[in-house]
Amino acid sequence: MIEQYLSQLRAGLRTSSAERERILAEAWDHLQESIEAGRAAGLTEAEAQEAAISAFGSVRAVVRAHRRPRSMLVRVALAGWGLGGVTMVAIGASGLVAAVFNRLAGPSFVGGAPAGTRFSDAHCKHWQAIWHVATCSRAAMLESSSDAVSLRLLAGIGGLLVLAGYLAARRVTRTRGPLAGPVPPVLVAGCFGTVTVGLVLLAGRLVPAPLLPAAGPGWSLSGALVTAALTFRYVIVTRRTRAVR
Amino acid sequence: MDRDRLKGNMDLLLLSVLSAGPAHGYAIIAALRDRSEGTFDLPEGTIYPALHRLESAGLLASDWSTGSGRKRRVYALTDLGVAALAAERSEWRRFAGAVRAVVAAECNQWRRRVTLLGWSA
Repeated sequence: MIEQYLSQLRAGLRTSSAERERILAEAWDHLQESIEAGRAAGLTEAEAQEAAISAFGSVRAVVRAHRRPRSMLVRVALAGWGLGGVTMVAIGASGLVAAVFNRLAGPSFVGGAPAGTRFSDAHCKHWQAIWHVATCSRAAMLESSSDAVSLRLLAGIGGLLVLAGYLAARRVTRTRGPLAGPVPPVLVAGCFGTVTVGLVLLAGRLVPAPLLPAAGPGWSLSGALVTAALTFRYVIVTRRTRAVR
Repeated sequence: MDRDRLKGNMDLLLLSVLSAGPAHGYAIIAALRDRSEGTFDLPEGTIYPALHRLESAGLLASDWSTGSGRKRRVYALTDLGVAALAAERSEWRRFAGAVRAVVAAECNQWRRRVTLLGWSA
């Protein structure tokens, strides 16, 4: 019984080998003394061993007690990994929303560039060859509305893989707690909220965005809906983690 | 006894037990249990991380010794540990005094309210 307990302890400890041997040696000595006390009190050998192990603590409790607090850098890095995965999945979800917009409101809602937008000849030639339409603006609209779905869905699939890796890392490092780790939920809510506001302003063409493709309001709104949902989720988490007044 | 409250005072308790003289883990936990009359009764295996931490901080020193035919690790206070114990004891007295004062004030207020209710009835 003692040997089994100690071998489970050996398997569970995540320390250097020297530290592990010391912990096991001390545990063995402690358990032997406890067994002797149990035998002196009239217990059988088996009862004394059981009582000694029970008093020493479960393998889980002892392993947890020996766990060193992970450095803040590692915890923040893990949180960044998780939040990065969530963001990529959110981009994928916005692609699904864009697909719904394309179906319900037509591709111009997502992909339609503002009137007067100019495209390069090379782009026009390339898009018109893909879409077999007469005008460059229509080809650009179809290209943009399609990319808003396909490229984002690809990002979403990538995000699922990133999250799978993150969950595996959590299991290996025996990390517990929320996905955002030490990052305050109010900060996460604030970031997603800011992105939501930015996307809504983009949709209304109230802010210039020279680096983004010229597209319809649905291009940004599809993203804003998803980030709004994430903002709401982290606002709820923030409220739940507040102290009771 | 709330385990978290106990964890927060573990250093003071261990240093206090060892101020009586060097001891190994089993003896330390037995002394904790006896001196507290059973109030401090935690999983015995969980004091070793605390002892190792105090040793890393230089407050304890330990060495293997052979007693009862077994190899056991005996811990003792260092000079730094003695100073740390004095500081922890002083801090604890201040803290306990403040808690007592706050709790006593709360009790007095409650007693006053109950008395007033009795009179008004």
